[in-house]
Amino acid sequence: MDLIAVLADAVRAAVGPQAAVFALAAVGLNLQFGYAGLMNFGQAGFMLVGGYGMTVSVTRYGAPLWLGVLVGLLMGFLLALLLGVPTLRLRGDYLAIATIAAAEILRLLFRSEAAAPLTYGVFGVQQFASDFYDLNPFGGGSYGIGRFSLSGGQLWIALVGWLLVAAAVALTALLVSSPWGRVIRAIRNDEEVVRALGKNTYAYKLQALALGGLMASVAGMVLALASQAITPDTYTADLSFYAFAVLLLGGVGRVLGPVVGAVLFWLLLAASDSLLRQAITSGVISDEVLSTSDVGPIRLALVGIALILFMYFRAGGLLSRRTPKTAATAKAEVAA
Amino acid sequence: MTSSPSGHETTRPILSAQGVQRRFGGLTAVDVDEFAVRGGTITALIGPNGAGKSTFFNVLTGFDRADAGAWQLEGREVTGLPAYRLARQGMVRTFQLTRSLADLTLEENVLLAAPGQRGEGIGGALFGRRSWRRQEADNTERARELLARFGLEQMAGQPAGVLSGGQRKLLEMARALMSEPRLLLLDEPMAGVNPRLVETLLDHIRQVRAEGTTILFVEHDMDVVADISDDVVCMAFGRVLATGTPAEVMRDPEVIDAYLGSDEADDDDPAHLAGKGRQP
Repeated sequence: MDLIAVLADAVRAAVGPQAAVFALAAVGLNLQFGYAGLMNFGQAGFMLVGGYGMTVSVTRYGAPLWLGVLVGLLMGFLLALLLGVPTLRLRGDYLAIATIAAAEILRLLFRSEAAAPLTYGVFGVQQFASDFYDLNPFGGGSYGIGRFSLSGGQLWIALVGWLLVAAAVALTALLVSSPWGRVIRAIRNDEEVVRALGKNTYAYKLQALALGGLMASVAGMVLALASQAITPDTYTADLSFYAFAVLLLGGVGRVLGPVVGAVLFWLLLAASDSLLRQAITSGVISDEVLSTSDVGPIRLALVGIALILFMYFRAGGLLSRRTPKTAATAKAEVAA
Repeated sequence: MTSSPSGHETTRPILSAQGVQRRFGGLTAVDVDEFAVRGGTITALIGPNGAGKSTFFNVLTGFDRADAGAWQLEGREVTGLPAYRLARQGMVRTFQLTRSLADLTLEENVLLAAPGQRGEGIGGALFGRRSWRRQEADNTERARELLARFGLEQMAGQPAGVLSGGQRKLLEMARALMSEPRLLLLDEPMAGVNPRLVETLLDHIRQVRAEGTTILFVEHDMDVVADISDDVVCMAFGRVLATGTPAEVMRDPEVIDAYLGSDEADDDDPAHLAGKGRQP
C-alpha cells in the first residue's frame, strides 16, 4: 500500500477544478438556501444552462468565448426568472418541486433527438475549449511537488476556477454583511414579519435565487471547460444533491462553508477511492469481497456516512457557529 | 377616557373602510359596512372567537385579499395594496403569535425595521457602503434606545431565539416602533401574557399614543379593553355590531348577546360583563 499516493490523489482532487466547480455551485446554493432559505434542488439545471449556453454559442454560432460566457450567464438568469416568478409568491415547497423538475426536464430536453441539431444530443460535444486553453500561461509541462502534480492545462483551469470561487465568496461576504443580507436572513426566519416591516420579500427572494443561479451557471461553464466536453447526463439530479452535501459538510449560512465543504468532499471521495483501489489491487481486500468496479459506488456511500455523522455531531457543518451551544444552554447563559 | 380627544366627530379618521367583504366559499367571514379609526386614539376591535376580527385585520393590512370594499389611510386610497407597501405608508402590524426572527440578534431585529435603509438594495449594499454605514450608525443608536425603553438593552447582542414569550412581545413592539408607524396595529397583544406583563404592555401602548401614534388592536379580554381604549368596535359573525366608547359598547344588548352566545363568556352574566367595563 502506498499511502503517499493516496494522499497525492486526495490533494489533487481537493484543489482541482472539480472541487472548484462544486464550491461555486455550493456558494450559490448557500446564498439561496443558507441565507434566504430557498429550497433549490435544481442547481444542476442552472449548471446545465450555463455550460450549454457557453458551448453552443461557441460551437454552433462561432461566438468568441467571452460572448459564450455572457450567453451562459443570461441563460442562468432567465432560468431563475422562469422558476422564481411563478413560485416565490407561494410556500417554499413549490420552489423545491419546480426546481428539481425543471432540472430533470432540461436534461431530458437537451439529450433528446429533437434538440440534437442545437445541443448535440446524448453524446454532447468535445474539444470546444481551445480558445480557453490558448490563454494558458503555464504551457504543457507538469507542475507540482514530488508525487503531487498537475499538468499545465489542469493548473490553468483550476486557477481560473478557484479565482471565480474567490470572487463569488467575496461577493457573498459583502452582501450578507450588508443590510440586504440582514433582510434575506430575516426572510429565512419568517417572511411574513419581514413583509409587515415594509420589505418586498418577493423581490428579495428573486434576487437571491438569481444570484445563486448565476454562480451555478458559472460552475457549469467551468465544468465544461475543465473536461473539454459537455453531455446532458453530466448534469443529473445527483449534481444538485452533491451541492447540498458540500454545503452541509462545510457549513450552511457560513461564507466559507461551501469552500471548506467542497475541499472536504473531494478529499473524502478521492482518498477513499484511492485507498480502496490500492487495497484491492494489493490483495489487502480480496477481490472476491470487493472488485475495483465496486469502488465508485462505495466511495459515495462513505461520503454519505460522513454526512450522516456530521448531521449527528455537528449539524451546522464543519464551520458551524451554533451547534455546540444548544438553545437551552444559551438560555441559561442569558439567565446567568 | 384619559387624555384622548373627546367626542366622535372631532378628529379625522386615520383609517376608514367601506363595504369590506371577505368570503371563504359560501361563508362570509367579514362583511363590514363602515369602519373608522380616529387619529390619536387607541381603538379596540373586540368580538367573540370566530367573529372575523383577525380576518378583517389581515385584509386591512394586506395579508389577505378582500372580495369587495375600499379603505383609506390618512385619506389616501390604499385598497388592496400589498402588505409591504402599506407598511411603508405608515401602517405597521404585529402578529398574534409573536414572531421574532430567532437567528437575528435583538438589535438586528429592530434594525431591520428602520425605514429607508439604502443598503437594503443590492446596488446600495455593494456600492454605497459608506452611505449605508452612516445610516446604520444612526439607526443603531435609535434601536438601542428602543431596546432600552422595553428593558431589553442587556440582551441586544443575543439571538432573539433565547427570549421568553413575554420578552418577544416587547421586542415585537420595539421593532414595530422602529419603523415609525403612523398607525400601529396590534393583533391580540395580550394573548398568553402574564398579568404583570399585561400592565407593562398597556403602559407602553399608552406611551405610544402619547407620542402621537394611533393604535388599533384586536382583543377579546373585556377588562383590558375597558381599561385602555378610547373607542371600541365590536364584531360578531363578520359584521360590526356596535361602535362607541367602551362603556357604551359594553352596555349594548347586542354585544352582550354576542358574548353570551360564545363559549368564553359562559360564566359571565350580562350584569357582570357590563360591570367590568366600569372598573378602573
